[in-house]
Amino acid sequence: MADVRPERRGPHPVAGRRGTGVLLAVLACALGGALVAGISIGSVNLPPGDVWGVVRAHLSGRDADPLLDQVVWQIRTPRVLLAALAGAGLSVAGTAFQALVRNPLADPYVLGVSSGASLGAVLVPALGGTAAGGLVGALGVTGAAFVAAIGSAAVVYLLAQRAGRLLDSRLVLTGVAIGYLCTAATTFVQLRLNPTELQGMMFWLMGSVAGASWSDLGVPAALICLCGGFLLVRARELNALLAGEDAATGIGVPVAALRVTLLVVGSLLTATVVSVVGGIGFVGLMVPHATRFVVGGDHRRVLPVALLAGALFTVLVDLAARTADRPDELPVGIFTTGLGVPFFLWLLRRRAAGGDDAP
Amino acid sequence: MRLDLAGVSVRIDARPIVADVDLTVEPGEFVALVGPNGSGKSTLLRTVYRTLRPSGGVVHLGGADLWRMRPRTAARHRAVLPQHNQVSGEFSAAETVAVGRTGRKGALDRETRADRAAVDAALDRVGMFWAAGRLMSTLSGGERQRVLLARALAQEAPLLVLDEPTNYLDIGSQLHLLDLVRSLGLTLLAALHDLDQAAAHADRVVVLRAGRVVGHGPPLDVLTPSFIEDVFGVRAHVGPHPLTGRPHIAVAAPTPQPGGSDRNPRPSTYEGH
Repeated sequence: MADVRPERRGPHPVAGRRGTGVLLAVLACALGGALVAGISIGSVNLPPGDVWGVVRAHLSGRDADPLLDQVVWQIRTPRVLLAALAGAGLSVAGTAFQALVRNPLADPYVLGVSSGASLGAVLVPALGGTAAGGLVGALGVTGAAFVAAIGSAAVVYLLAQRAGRLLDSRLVLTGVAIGYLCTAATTFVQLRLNPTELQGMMFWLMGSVAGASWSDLGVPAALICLCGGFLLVRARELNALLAGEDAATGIGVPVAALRVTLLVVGSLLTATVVSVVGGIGFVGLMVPHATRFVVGGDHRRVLPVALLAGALFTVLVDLAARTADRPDELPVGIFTTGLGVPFFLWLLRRRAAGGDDAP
Repeated sequence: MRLDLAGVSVRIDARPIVADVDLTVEPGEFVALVGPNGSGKSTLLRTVYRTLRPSGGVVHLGGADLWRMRPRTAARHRAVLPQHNQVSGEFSAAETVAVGRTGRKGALDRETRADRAAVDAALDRVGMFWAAGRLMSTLSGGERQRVLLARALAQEAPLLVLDEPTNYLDIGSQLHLLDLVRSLGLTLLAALHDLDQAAAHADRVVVLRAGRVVGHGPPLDVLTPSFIEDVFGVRAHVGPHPLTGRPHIAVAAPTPQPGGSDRNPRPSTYEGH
């Protein structure tokens, strides 16, 4: 039908395969730089040389200066690494959920996972001293939050499925409804807490990587590698999933099974991150979108770029949260939105010039 | 690739939508599925996509039970262009077509020269090669539909199933598209709402009403004026097309009958040979 055949352009007008490779390298370097900056800058600024000295001492098994070691290795390093892991995990989970429910508003919390985690967390001090409190207390805040988060995702799944098949719209609406229910219950429980307990909870509810220790890092890191790897291996099928159920099935994707798997993977990732750092919002919504604006929709590019971009963004945001009002710390959530929204809106407007994506 | 539906029934929420449908598409044949809205055309096709499991009967593809195949095996034998598609605006046309190769790729396979050739050939076939690098969000409705057809062609399956493929297309593009799919040398099963198109292009038509087959055979044997009036409730004229000489069906709204309609509500069966 076409008589004229202009020279074929690359696979994507914004960034092709080679462009993505460069972008990944740039992001990795930037993340490395941000991690070093995050360790150096704080209530006391340390020269990067000292930081490097401590890291080298640990890598080679020598003893470092005890005070420096305390600040660099015991406090700041796990903290910036946790921020990176949280950002990476939430961005990957957001990408998975957006492919699952095919809704631009989907984020890691769309299935009520974060609200469930909050409820689990506030139950720990609230039930302290009661019979049930013994069980919940044994889990600790992190454990209780994780269990409640997985529990709420399971309830959403059970209510939204029919004969094992997930229905798009029902999934989102059920998740939102369960989320509201958990939030209401959390508010109710909070009112029963005394001011000291409440103060301790507030920071967690708003999301924070303060107080991170090395022992917090292992599980999220392992899970991000596992889930990220799994999603990357199935990235082609995620692309097909966006075409709709009929088309994806026709293309050879086991749609029903893949969607349930995505729900499990996304919920696990989100629950793990949220139970450690609390409800850091917006990262999991914005980073996947921003990534797609830059590299296009192919999940083989979106997943690795979103992972690194999410990590970088969260490390920078945490840095801002603890340096803006030194020596006090502000909740990191203020900065994820405060810095993220203007950037996101800028990207959105820039893209809108290229046309919208009506069906 | 022979498609054979034998006694296929589909229930949704215990409500029978399609009942006991027999339908065969011989290799190389173009069979059009026609019928009023809600007659079960799309539901029946979804048993071939494998999104709706028949509650009774079997779907055979090349002699094997389609519902017992692995998803990617099925995808190598039949491609589909469903009625409702979601287009991701952030994919280029070439990337969208490349998604059609998914069923042929293992998890760790990289894109090969053969994949790229299949994508290029499919885009070329539908006249959209020029748009390979264009984002889907920048294409018109008709252009998108052609890219989605190319995605199905990139599967390189011998059977192509289409549901109202001419939706969203202007008249010229509709005719182009049907000529195009006919020229592909594939076995075709297509739900069409336009009886004239079905008559002009299909080798055989299968007519559904209320989930049952009420007529099947060569278009002109089945789609007689009285049959069309009975099934679709419109007046029809059947004759050679004044421009092409192909079978042509012109329809008009029914003349109002004094005393109201006394159309026979019972499905009646017409047999072509």
